[in-house]
Amino acid sequence: MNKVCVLSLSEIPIDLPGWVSQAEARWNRTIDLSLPQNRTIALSGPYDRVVVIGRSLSLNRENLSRVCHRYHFDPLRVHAYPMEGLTAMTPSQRLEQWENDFQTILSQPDPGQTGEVVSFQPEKKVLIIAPGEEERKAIADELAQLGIPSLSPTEPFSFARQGIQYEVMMEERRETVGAIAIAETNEKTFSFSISRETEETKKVIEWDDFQPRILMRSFRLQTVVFLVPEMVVPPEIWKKIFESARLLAERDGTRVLILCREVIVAGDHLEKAYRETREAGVLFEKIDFITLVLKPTLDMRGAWVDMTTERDGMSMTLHADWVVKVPGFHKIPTDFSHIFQADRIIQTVSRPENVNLPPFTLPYPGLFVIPGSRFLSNRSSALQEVAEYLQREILVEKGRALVDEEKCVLCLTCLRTCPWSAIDIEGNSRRKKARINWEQCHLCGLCLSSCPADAISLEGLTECYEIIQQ
Amino acid sequence: MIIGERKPVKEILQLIGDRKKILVLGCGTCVTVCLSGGEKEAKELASLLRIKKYQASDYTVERQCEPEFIRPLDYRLKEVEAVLSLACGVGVQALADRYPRTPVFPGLNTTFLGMPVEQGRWEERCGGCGQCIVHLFGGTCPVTRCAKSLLNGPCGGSKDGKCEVKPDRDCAWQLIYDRLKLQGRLDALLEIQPPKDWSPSRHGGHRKMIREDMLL
Amino acid sequence: MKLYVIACDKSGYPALMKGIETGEGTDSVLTVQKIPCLGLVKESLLLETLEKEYDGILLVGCPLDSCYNLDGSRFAERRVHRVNALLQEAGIEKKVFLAFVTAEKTGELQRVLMLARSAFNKEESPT
Repeated sequence: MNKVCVLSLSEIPIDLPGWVSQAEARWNRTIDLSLPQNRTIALSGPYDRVVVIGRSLSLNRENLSRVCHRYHFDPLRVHAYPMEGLTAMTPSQRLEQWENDFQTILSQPDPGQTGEVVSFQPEKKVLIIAPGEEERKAIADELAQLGIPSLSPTEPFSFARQGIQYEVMMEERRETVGAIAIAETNEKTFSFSISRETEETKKVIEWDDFQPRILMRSFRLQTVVFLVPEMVVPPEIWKKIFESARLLAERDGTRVLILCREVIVAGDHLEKAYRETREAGVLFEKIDFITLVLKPTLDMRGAWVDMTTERDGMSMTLHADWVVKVPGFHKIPTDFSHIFQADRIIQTVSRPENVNLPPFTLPYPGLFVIPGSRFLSNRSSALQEVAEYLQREILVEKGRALVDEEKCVLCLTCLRTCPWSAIDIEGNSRRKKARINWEQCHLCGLCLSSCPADAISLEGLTECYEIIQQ
Repeated sequence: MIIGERKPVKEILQLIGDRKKILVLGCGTCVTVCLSGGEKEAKELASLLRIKKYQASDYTVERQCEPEFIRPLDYRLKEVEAVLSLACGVGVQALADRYPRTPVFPGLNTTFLGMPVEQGRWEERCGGCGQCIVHLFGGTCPVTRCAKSLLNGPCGGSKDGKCEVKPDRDCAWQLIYDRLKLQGRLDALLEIQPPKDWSPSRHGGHRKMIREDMLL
Repeated sequence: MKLYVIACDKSGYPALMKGIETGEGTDSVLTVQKIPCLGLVKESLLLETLEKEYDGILLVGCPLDSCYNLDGSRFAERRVHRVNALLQEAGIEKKVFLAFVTAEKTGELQRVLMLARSAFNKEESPT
């Protein structure tokens, strides 16, 4: 195998076609070139080395896997070459640098084994786990509209992972599903406690009770204070708050004060509604709810509100005719301990705060949290995400992460640290060892670095560049 | 398994003194699994010594406590001035017995017999007292897990299920009570335990065990 | 000051390349190693690299709570702390630095490079 392929993903500042003929003579190799403009030329492997040139942002592993899959390259023989290192030089320096690096790539040791990229599509079926029958049906209907069959388990059931799919085990049958949708359950919370004396004025009122009163009676020249002590208040509720506050201010000339930790304006038309509400004369104040004190007035027809604003730290007292309690929502993580028979035991599944992951995914591929019925606008986009996941082909690089059976001491560190729970223990009672499931492995190497016996290796993933030299 | 903790680097450097050729020897059994003296740690320490301009090399054997496993080290030990053993105290002594001419230094403090309660956290479970009485206490050993080793507990210091001596640890007697309650055997606690016979323990001197049928 | 740079291919490497392209502050001799995730870096790799002529190592990767592999940056942070503690204990004047960047925000990289530079300059000057 004396063939080398150079594939560039974008225009690069070197005249490669001109370089190839002399390079072939110099290194005594056949060099196939694939540039953006002549992509139609068929590449005939197998190649000894493949150099992929492009912007470093486009040279991530997912992209490289895609390239390998399309052209049937062996991923262990692919070298990514970022072009940024070249741009700052003169043309002759560039060529020299490129030839040096090319030489380094050619002189890298040959990978002993062969790798392969396989594409994989999960079973197009979704298991729905929801607290109530109504909710389950609503999700199933919405999925049916997207053309995805769904499955509601009969209790008791459990599920275990099989590669990237899930096997659902029920009493009378077993089914394989590609994804699991878990409906999130929410609990109403209102964390600020109000003293009994103040409650007795009957002027402290729940948000749900207050809404109908706005239309029924006039609040002319009175003062209404909204308390929003929670961080997680759905945009739908904020929208209603804006509407009601604006209505009160414009219709009755009510003085409206909204005390909150944070105003949420991320949502359809919310920012506009917020601005209009402020223009109508409604005051928003961010406060620390620890400093807030509510006391009844002497005539028991209202309350004194004592607070310190976060903006300038000024403390002030004002008289409120009405105090409205706006609740927030507290997410209850789903308890999996009794149904998840996975390789890594998870007690509760909660969403990681990770901007690299789509907002509805859990750390386990194929598990999705579907926002509860109170967040309807989000639900359809979450289900869209599920549908996309089932459509997408999953590219997997086989043969990269390996466990050396001789060295494995079965300390279980890798099994406990793997963020994708791709490791399990296999073998009989005489000889057991850790095994990496390549369907689940993301080649992050966390197991490699935690293994105390140095038994895990990632093949062909060390790339080294001398970037700048003075 | 046996749990050990690495000695502070300063102390290790003091032990080595001005010897320059050092072999850092890891052990592939208990101390590998408790992440203190395996191949990885041996490599780290050897690296650190090399940065400090020692001629350090590293190697790891399956078990340092068995002569068969350390015999292949003969030629490696000829070339070094000292061995820094990352095994438990047993391994260090096995090595010292086998190579009486080479100084063998312990790189670990052997701390206790225990288990990982979660990844990265180990707790003591057995004191090796030589006469197991765990069955009397619902499977929780008060000798090791109670700070006062009370056989007729609890003391007055148990608070919210935690020990008064080490407040981050569970009170063993709380655990015993809970377990026996679960089993419906609370009456077992009414029995007063006589003073424990400590002669099979360390107090009786150097211990040994023989299986005559297995002797060659 | 000679730095060996290890960058993760999710955030660190693109950020570094961007920094180089715009010519910001990467004027030391740099050898850059690309790895899939900072969580892959083990202590022995760091120490073995420091055995060579490098003054320090710079790890560049995703911010703590948005590491693609969830725990990777957290692991890296802990290991860097551990290695720095080891180096300090042994009285070695080399250090490992850690920069959490994204491809959009390279400011942090400049800050850490500056920090590294001032740390080494202080050691070089006799007073």
